[in-house]
Amino acid sequence: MAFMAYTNMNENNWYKLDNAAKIYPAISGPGSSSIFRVAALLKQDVDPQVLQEALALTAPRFPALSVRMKRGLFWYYFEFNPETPLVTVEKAPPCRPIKPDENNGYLFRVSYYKKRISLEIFHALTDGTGALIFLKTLVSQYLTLLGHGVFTYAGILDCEDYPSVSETEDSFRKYSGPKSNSKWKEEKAYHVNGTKMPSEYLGVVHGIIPLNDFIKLARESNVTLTMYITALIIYSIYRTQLNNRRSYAPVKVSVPVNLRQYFPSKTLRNFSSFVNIGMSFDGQEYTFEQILNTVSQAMKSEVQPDKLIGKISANVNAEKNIFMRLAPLILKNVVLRTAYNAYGVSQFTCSFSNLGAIKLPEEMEQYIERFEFVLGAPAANMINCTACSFKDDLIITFTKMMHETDIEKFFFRYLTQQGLSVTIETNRG
Amino acid sequence: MLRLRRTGGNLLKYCTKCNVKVNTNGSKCPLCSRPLSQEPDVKLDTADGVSEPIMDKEICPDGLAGADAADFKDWSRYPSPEGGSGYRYNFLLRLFIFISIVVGSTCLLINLLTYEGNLWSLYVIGSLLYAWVVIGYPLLRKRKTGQIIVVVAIATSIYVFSLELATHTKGWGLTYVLPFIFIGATLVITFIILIKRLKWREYTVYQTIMVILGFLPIIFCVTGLANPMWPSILSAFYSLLTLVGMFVFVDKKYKDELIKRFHI
Repeated sequence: MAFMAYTNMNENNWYKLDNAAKIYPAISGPGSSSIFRVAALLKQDVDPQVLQEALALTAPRFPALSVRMKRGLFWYYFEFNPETPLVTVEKAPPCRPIKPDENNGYLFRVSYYKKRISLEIFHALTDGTGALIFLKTLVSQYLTLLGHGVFTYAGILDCEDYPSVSETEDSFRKYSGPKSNSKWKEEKAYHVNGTKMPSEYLGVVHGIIPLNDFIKLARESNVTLTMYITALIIYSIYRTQLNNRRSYAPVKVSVPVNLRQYFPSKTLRNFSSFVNIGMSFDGQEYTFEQILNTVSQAMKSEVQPDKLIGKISANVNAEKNIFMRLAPLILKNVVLRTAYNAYGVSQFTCSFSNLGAIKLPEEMEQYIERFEFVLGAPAANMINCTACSFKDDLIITFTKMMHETDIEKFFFRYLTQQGLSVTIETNRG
Repeated sequence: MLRLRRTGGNLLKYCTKCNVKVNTNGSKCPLCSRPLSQEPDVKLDTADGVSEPIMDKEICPDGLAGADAADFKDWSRYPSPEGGSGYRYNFLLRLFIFISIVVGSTCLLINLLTYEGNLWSLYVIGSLLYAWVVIGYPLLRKRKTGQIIVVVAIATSIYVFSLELATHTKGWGLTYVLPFIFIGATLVITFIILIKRLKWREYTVYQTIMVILGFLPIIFCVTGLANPMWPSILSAFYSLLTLVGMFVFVDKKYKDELIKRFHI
């Protein structure tokens, strides 16, 4: 099949969904939107007209994201969207499902509220890395239109450039091998208890912490930030939900891994995998240090390129299975949903996604206060956690579907006890 | 060295129990719900970067001393949640559903109580179902015209076929009505494609479905369910012509469109 000159689109302007993307349309519904948000908080109030103009300039540079989703007989597919995406004012809690007629069929939502520019995006389009590049490019276009200069490096794409083939490739297919040494079945994880909020709400709690102090804290234990936060989430759940008791199942945190670190991919579509890191509690008393030790050991052994490749190969091979391919879409959705419930969501207690340090061109930094990263409704798991850092601030965000605040309260109080200064922001009052 | 940390010209609020600063319009700590006080405003920039907070007076309910209203408002970073959830209670729809259930079940009950070998209530229930498909399908949600044509054509075929079975008046539906429904639906879609040329992609899928259905009456002919054969042959012939027409006029594009919709 022939390809267009500068994208991986098939003739007639359409893409197949990448391997990771295929699961999301099947499992998404009102309770689980599979939408996440990356947002930039500027120092000035956002001008909606300029933002709209910036969006119209930015979107065409991202052919992988400028699509609408269609149903074929056997698979969903993405089709080039000739309409212009629209900027809206933020009214609802973050990460609401995006209706097909809401934004000219686009699967993302760009909204503003006071100083914040938010990009909410359906996970089938891309992962955190791709979304962040889109947001950074959008913000840089916005600032350029306001006359603050032109910024086209440090992860910002030049909108006057042609999109490159490598940006729209399906890296899962490219880097997966025939060998799949991965087992899908893992031990079921502990699930937190709590009073469920109505499904249209989503609780967001940001904790803003000086980055260098946190790095110093993690260094004292010889671990990375991701390990430290993962361990502290497990410890918080252990102390608040289990109260040191024995748990019927291990407390496990699902940690997404950006595969671009291990493979030379430049794709703006999905290219991440995950590892489930956890610990069983047998009724003995555990200290944070013990948990941290277990977590760092597990992460070091799990986050290995060959293990990750085995994992993605298993998924890609399943997708290539002829029976799977020939099943009509309606049937596929049932199969995928069942598989996800059996092997996906039941195997972790919550997820923790670390977007890492966000870099910007130096001249652009002065216009940005900070970045935020919010995961959508955690469906069966009630609570999710993210982290990202910009300049001197680390922002840890809990997203939750339950009223109780025990877990994040314990989490942030533990950090202040370690001598960190924490500033809390929420979307509840 | 003494350093004064300020946000938006104001001092942040502080929870003495959680030891956290809180950026909020509210007066309670979002973590523990205790009343907030003003942030200890002077922080000692000591070597380890941390100092014990100096506690301060409780906040007065109408805001912070020295803070003007504009600054104060700016502290909320999120819009206050809206009450509505997008859930709409459609009374009329529920009324029609209920009336349908009442009519259908009443007929069934009367029919069963006065049964004399004739299940006439099934006509009523079947007709109600057919009406729901033909009227409800296009009205309940935004549908594409092509979708509506295909669904109505299929529903009508099934309805006609059931009537034929129920009334034991063999032959008329399969022989005459079905082939002409398929021809008609194909014709309508062809006209739409000719009129809305820009949307031809969307309609080719429905056109393809109708063309495939158009060959169906031939099966009835072969199995002897339809007699005389000429309407069925006409339907198949018309489908064939439409198919040839699509390949002649939009050839490669049509093929691409089919690959897109039916890729495995």
